[in-house]
Amino acid sequence: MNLKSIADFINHDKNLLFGIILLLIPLIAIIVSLISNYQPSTYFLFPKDSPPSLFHIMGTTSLGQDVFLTLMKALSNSLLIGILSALISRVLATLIGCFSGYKGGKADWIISVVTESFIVVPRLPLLILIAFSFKQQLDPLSMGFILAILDWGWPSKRYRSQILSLKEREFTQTSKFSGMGDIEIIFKEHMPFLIPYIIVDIISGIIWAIGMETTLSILGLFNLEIPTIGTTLYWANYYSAMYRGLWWWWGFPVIVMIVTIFGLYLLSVSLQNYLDPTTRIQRIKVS
Amino acid sequence: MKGFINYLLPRIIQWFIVIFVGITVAFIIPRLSPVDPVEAVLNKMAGYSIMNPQAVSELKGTLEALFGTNKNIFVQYTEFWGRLLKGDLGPSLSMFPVPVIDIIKTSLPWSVFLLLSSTIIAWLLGIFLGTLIAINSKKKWAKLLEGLVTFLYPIPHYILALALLFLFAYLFPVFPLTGAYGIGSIPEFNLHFIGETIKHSFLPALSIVLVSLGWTALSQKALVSNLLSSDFMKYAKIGGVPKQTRFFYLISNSALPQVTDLALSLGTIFSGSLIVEIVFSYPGLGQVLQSAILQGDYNAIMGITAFSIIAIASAALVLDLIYPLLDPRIRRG
Amino acid sequence: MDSLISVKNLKSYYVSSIFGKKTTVRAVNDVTFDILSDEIVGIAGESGCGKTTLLNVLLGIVEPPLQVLDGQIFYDLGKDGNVDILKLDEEKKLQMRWQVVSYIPQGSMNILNPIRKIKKIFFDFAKSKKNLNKKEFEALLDQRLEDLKLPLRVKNSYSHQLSGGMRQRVTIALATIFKPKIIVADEPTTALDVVVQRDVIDLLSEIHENEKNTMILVSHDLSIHANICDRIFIMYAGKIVEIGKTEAIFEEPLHPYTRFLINSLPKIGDKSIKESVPGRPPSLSNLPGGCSFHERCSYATDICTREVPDLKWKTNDHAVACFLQWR
Repeated sequence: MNLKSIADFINHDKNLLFGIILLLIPLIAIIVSLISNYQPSTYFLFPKDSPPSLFHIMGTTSLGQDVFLTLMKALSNSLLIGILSALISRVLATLIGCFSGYKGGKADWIISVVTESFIVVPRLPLLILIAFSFKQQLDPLSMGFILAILDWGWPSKRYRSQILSLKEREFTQTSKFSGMGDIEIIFKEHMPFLIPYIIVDIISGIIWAIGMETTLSILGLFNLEIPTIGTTLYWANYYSAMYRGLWWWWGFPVIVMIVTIFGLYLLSVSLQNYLDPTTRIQRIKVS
Repeated sequence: MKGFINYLLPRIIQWFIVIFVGITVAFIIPRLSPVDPVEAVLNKMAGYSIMNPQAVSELKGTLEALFGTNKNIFVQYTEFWGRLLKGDLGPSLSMFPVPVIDIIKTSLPWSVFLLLSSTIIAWLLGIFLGTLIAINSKKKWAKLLEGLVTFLYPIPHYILALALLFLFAYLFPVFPLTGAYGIGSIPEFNLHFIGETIKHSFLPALSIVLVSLGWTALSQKALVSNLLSSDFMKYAKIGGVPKQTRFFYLISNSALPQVTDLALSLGTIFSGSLIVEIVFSYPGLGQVLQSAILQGDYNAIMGITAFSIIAIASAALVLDLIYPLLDPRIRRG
Repeated sequence: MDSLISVKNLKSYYVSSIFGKKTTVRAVNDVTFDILSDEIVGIAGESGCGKTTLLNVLLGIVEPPLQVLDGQIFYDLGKDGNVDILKLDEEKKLQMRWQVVSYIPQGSMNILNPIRKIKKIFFDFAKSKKNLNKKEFEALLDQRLEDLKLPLRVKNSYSHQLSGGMRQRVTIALATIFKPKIIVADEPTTALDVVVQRDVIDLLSEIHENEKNTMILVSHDLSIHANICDRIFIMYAGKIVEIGKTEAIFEEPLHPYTRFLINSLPKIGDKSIKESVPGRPPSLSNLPGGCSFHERCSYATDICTREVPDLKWKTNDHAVACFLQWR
């Protein structure tokens, strides 16, 4: 896969094009927050409640913070939490799902029922309960972890069904007869099929986690000193930004969040198209 | 009949296990926190009001008995289950000694009304739209519709609810901002009140419907596309089976996996409705949950969580039981 | 016996454009033949030679990316005269199906709606056709089930409750409920076990005997053709390369490809080593110039690489498309 084929593909697939454009914003956020020395926790550094201007392109908050710089840090943190949660949950899901699907029998049944529990149980109340209990100790790492524990269910179920169908295919029988151990079969033969699927799934995981973290933070269930999209909105709400006409304080975070989520989603859609084996063969023929 | 029992039994066992796992997780994880819930509650209450020392120590005693913080964890666990099976979720801490279960009972009807109506509408609408999109997949308007649905699907409930609130209650005040009925209105069963209820529930319901129908519509589209290329659908078309009948084939064959899907999505839809209720200050469970968080009412949060786990698991079981009535392959074994 | 279906210069290709590149699959490449009344015709050929496409077009099922570029298909509809079905609108084509021409598809396993009772499925197929009331149709259905030796309880069953053999019979019953003049069957015995295969062939034979209709059977299995067909058409790379009575094809195959096919069939008592055709069939989107078989043919000459041989009649009922025959 060289540069030219990537360029070709971007030209063809509008989803990818649009997605990448949208994702430039979080990319800028990450770069800015790495470069900038700004500490959002330093209150009253700037004049408060001022609308967007030359010096503060997204205005300032009631706590004298620059919205743009705070938002860039916030977006980076939210993304970090999202990525952490997605990675941890998908690793868990892969281990559990593959083991369960491959082993079959009683072990599979028990694991499946437990997995089902994690799917059926409504996650928000449980998350609220957990976050409430740990309120002040929460940081991006622990939040990512908590979110991951509740998000491995559905993916695990999906991976399991993939493994189930792979198990039936002939090449599995062949591998078994040639003496490959179970774990070897799962890793060497089945995983290559599963990995593209998992990559697309990770993006869904990121989207869910960002959404959940935002919801929890707006309810005040996170460490409110740490800037994330959610905590920013919490503070905006706390100071009644909507009613006081400080539209920039809550408007920009919402827009940035939608842009990021949408960009990620388009990326996953185009990745899915790219990795779909049926269209892949046609593409190879053409190029 | 035997087929039915074979189908039923594992599912009832599953129901037990789901509730068991859920409640256990809800029980254990908060107790892993170093924060002592009793202290935390007392501190919070001290901030709100000045209570006489005797009341405070009584409260402390009750709370400790309740949480059993002075007993070991297994005893706490067993006692918790004991209370749960009797329907006792403990007293609310911020509205002491009102039992949590009573608070839930008052707000439940509103939540059920909102949840039931928007879930059913979203499910039916999703199936309808998904089928339309799949049948007319080459036409431009179908692609546009699909794009719209795809756009709605990843948006978190909170953001969509907020956006709707802003657009239709603030910017263009078409709908009321908060509540389930007008301030000062008395709930009565007359046309005027029902009208008010509908007006107030419209935006919350719309939020839930818009986000939920995304998933149903997209999965329906995939199901129908697969069905359209299946042998029996192709044969029916060749054989001249009328369009309406073939449409019915599509819907009836895809309804089955959709029922299963609905059972699995109930948790997510429920969570979404809680959020929506909070944004719109709708007097359902969500509202109760939010004030519980604000007032540090640990018991209420725990109670609502336990209650919703049991409720959703049971709703999923009910759906699972309906399934054989629709699928003859299971009915007759 | 007169011509029931008359196909003239039929060209039907799959034209698609993927990622900007155009591909044309010449599935039916200039085909002309007649099918007579009261006969069983077999169309034989390897997978991918275009026989299923030919069937589809014969039935008037032409959906993108399949296109008909040229040719006509005339059906003799008795008092309605000769009609080119390619020019009919969808409505009329649907009316014709099941009443004039019917289709028994490959893989009867899955062609019945799994969640619908058999009786209701029959009703569904009859709905747009003749204006029969329910009672009359049910009587017709009962009669048909009896004819095919199916128990009446089948009516209230679901497809998963029937055995494979029964399902195949139900499919045949469904296709022939209105006793059409022409029955088209696509690989009716593939993926069935030998006992059921025998059953199906006997059943089709019986129906033909009783109703004096015309059957067109498509199969890659020559032994089936030997069993039941009056005439056989040999198809290769989108073209018909030989037409003849069954005995003639088996005893005196004229086309080199047919010869290979016949020679590769096992015969009782014959211990000679079987040879299969060398090489592989050409891709229908990338045909070699001249005769499509020349790359694999041991008799190929210079003209075979340059020109395409026409299907010419050597005798009244034996035609072949090969330059070898006309030297």
